[in-house]
Amino acid sequence: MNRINPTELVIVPLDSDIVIRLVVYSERENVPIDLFLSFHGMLGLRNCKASFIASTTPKTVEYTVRTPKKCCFIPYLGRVSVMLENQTHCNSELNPIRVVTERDYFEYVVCDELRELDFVAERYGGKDPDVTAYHNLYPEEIFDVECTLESPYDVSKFNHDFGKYVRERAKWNFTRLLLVSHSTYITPDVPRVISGVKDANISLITFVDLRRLRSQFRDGSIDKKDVYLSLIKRGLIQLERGMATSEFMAQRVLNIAFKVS
Amino acid sequence: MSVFKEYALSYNPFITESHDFPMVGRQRLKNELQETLTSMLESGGSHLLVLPGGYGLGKTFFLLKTKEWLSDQKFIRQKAIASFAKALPYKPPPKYYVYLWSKIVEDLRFESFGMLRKEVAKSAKQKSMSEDSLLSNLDQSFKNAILKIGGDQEYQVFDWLRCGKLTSKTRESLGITYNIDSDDSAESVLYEFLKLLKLLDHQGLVILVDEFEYIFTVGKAKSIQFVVAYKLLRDKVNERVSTRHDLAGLIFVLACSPGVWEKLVEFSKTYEIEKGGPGLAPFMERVRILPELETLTDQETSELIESRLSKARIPSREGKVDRLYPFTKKYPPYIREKSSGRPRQIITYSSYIIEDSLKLGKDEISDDLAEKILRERGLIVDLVVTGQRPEEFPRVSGKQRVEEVERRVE
Repeated sequence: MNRINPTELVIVPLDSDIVIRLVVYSERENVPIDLFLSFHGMLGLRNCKASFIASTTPKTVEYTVRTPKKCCFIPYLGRVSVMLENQTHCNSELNPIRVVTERDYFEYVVCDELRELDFVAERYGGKDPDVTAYHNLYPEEIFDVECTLESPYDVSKFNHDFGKYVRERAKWNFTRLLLVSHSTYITPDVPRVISGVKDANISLITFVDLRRLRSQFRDGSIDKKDVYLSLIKRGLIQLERGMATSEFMAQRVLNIAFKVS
Repeated sequence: MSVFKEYALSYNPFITESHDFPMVGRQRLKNELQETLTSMLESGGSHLLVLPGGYGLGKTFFLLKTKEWLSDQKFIRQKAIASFAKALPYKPPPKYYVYLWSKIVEDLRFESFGMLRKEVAKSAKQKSMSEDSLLSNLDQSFKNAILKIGGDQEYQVFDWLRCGKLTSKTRESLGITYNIDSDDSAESVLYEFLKLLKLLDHQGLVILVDEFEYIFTVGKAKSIQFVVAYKLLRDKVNERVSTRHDLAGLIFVLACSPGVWEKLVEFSKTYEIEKGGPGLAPFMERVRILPELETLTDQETSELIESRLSKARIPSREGKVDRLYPFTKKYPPYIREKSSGRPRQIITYSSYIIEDSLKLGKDEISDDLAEKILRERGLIVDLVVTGQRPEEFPRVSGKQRVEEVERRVE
């Protein structure tokens, strides 16, 4: 069985899809199952049921839920009950959900990407730094990570991010500024302005290149140290290899596996 | 010729349970494991590692691959021996160390002991001493058993090592004074084995334990007993290593589903409060947790399917058809999505899909065809909106929830 009653908070953008995918399998053949899915009241959704025969080959039960159009917190997305011969066999609440704006969601996604790259990262947002991070190998270097969705990434946007960094760096002990732009359109004057700033270590990477870096790290073509060295390069960081997409609003999928016996 | 020749294949490539396919993805985890094992073997002593991985994510496959990598000195610098064992047999064993040692020996197989025997001969020659003197620090029975390997009675020795019961007459002829039939004797023999490894300059024994979560299906008291068995072994080896320096390292890699592991963490806390005493806490504190096995990406799914197809591809058609044929390019992302990126499910579903598609006489397998087959097979189940109010659904009280958790732990 996978996680039952998962407590991990799932961040989702407002008015987007969450796919609930339940995998049900059994140690023996021909086990009749009634599976109930009831949603949290805040979602205003009608409840669902599926009746099927479980076997050693896993069955996939899938349902797509639309998130609310307002930012909110839902203590649990819903509850799954598996019944065998009219007796409750097991129950599981689905994850708690936080519905956020697209901008906030992008900050969370960048934070997750950095964690995948072996950083310890925390998303703050709002007036605070978007994300603070340090690499596990070099914890003394603390990054202020500012994330931007606007296109193009131009000097006025840079000045805004840099201004925030200057204001906050003493308070948060930042030693580096890492700018993550969702847009791949960086105006040519931005790298020039960055190289002109002498008293700060500033790096700029597009989101798609951050993903490329993760794909290289995942497939083992670079190690933890290479990741770090890539992200501390001054100015615009560009990667040539690795498959990646700038899409970050993909459906969130909640996977849960039930073993019935 | 197989019916699969229509797809330029000799057989259904997804039906085999074989573990000799190349591993797809997991490079990061492999690197982490490599670093961890290297440093643990370097430092010596005993360690516990947990490999968390959900249902169908390939824990067994990863452990078997680890065993394969450990036999190659490119993976780790040190000389180490690896053995694979299931945490529990079908029925809980009355003597856990006897069970564990017998599984270690069975997996090492006769060949590994034969190899160690040759190393004894080589090492004695290099050190210009007799084999008997080289092994003089070993228990007399274990020493005699090892020295008998390669001789007429080697199969009886192997039988003794794997906890078989030898008659007193046979034991006498081998120079062995006891059978390995109690936890104490199994534990002692394990230490003797670690001593032998140390003498032969092996840095350690890595025991890859699969289905560790099954330990928690045998009742609270018994499961704690089994878990504590690992902790005690670890502590005793460390004690001996720090005082006598005569043992090679002992590392356990325990593959466990993350849900069960999380419940165990919770359970260890409540057990301590309810029952007093240390319970499971000392074990939990000694464990190092590896990164969780991840689900496969689209790219990795494609590689998994290609590697299976390539093995079954009719040689004369190799290179003449697309590597994914009969599947279309859209198939890997589709099947990854439907299987939540779990390799086991990808393989099982693909096996049905390729069989049914052949029966339907289709030239190629698209995502649409795969969806149709999975639905017809009842492997994708539709939910029906019932409109029932929540109160008409089975409700779960707090007490039921507690009972549910306890039942699962038991």
